[in-house]
Order: sequence, then C-alpha cells, then structure tokens
Amino acid sequence: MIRNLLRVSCALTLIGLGLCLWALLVPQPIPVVVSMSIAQGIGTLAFALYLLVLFIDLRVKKTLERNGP
Amino acid sequence: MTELTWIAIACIAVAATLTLWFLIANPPLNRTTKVLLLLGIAVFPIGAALSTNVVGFETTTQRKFCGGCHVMLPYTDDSADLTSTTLAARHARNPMFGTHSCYKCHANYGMYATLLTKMGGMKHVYYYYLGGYRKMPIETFLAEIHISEPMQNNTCMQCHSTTTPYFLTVPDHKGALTEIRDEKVSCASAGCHGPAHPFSKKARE
Repeated sequence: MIRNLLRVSCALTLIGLGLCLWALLVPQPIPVVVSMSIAQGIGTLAFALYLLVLFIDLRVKKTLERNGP
Repeated sequence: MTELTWIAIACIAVAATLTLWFLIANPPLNRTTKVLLLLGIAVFPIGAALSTNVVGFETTTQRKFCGGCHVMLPYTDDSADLTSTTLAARHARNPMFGTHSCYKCHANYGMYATLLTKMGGMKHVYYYYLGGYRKMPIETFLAEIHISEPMQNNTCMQCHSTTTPYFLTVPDHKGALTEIRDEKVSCASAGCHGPAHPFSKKARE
C-alpha cells in the first residue's frame, strides 16, 4: 500500500511538473493560468500523499516498537 | 528566458528524474529512497512551483502576453508601433513602460492592486475562452467591446503628480484640478489626452 501511495504521489508530481514546464515553454494565458492553479493543486496533493506515507510509516514503526521484537 | 526560468527548469528536471527513477527502478523503501523522494516530491517541486509562479506573474505583465488573445492584437500592435502617436504608443516608447506598457496603465492602484488586477485578468480570460470572444472576429470585437472599468486618473498620477508648476501652467489642468483628482474628468478622455488607443470606447454604464 505504501509503495502504491508513493507511486501515485510520484505520478501526480510528474503531471504537476509537466504543467509547470508547459507554462514556461508556452507563455500563453491558458498554460500560465493552469500552472498557477491546477498544477499547484496537483503538486500539493502529491506532497500530502507523501506526508501520509510518512505518517503511516511512523505509526507502523511505533506499533512494532511497542509490541517488541 | 530569464535566469529564474532556468532555475525553474532545473528544479523540474531534478524532481522529474528522481520521481521517474522511483517509478521505473522500483528501489527498496529504505531511508535513502525516502530522502530522495522527499527531494523529488517536495523540495524541488516547491522550488519549481515558486519560481514558475514568479515567472508566470512576470509573464502576465508582458505586452506579448496580452496580445496572446487575438482580439487584443490591434491594441498591442498599436502600442508597439514606433510611428503611432496614440497615448498608449507614446507611453510604451518610454523605457519605464516598455514591454510592460499594458500592465503599467491597466493595473489597479492601491494596497491590494496586484491581487485585484489579477482577479480582473481572470475575468477577461473567462470571457475570452468561455464567453465567446475567442471566436469573435476582430472587427466585431472592436465595434462592440468596451473597457470594463473607466481608466483611473490615479494610474496617470503615479507619474504625473498634478502638483508641478509645469502641469499647472496649462489652463485646463488648473481649471479642472479638483475634478481630475476626484476622477470626475478622465485624463484619457477624448477632449483631454485620450483616447489612449485608436479604438477606445468608454466603459458601459
């Protein structure tokens, strides 16, 4: 599950980065508006997924430590 | 391309390389992988987003960007025309305005000016792409469309303070000083220094 979440996060990051690159290479109204709105949202979602993975990871680690080897 | 554009592209390249590496190589989820993913998903994308935003904002103040909507081309072409004697063209030849001439005159004035200007800009993008202007012939556009809000004298008064002795030697300036400062008489009106563009029309009531 963690690996899949990270894969989704990576894919979303790539989409967001692609939209940012589009605005840099084609400085027209739609690419610029998309990069400053949708791309930011996608990037934030990707980062949120990464944080979720960290949270799950820490919880699992804590549980394992509590239960002992 | 500016230096910031290259920084944005570099951040995008590094972040894309790291995320693609994870997707393709499928490495074990150890500490190194997680740190590299932190760089690829958070650090470099945030750097890319910040620099892209600044570059994007800078782009939206360029005359070329305004001319990106075909109906604006007569206005931007006139402003860039070195032989034109319109108010817009004469100001655009001043390096203080230069290639940012549209933004310098049409940006709102005041504390939240940048935000208000961008919100107004979004309205125009909406009109263009979803309001039918995109398919409108330029001739129809020039005949039908009016400026959305009256041109503010405050914008002119950022440079022309209305207080210099030279300004006050002009009888019309002296006589209408209060009306000019109170926005009751527009600097860019036909009887004064305008219209700013050859196709200018007053704002709709």
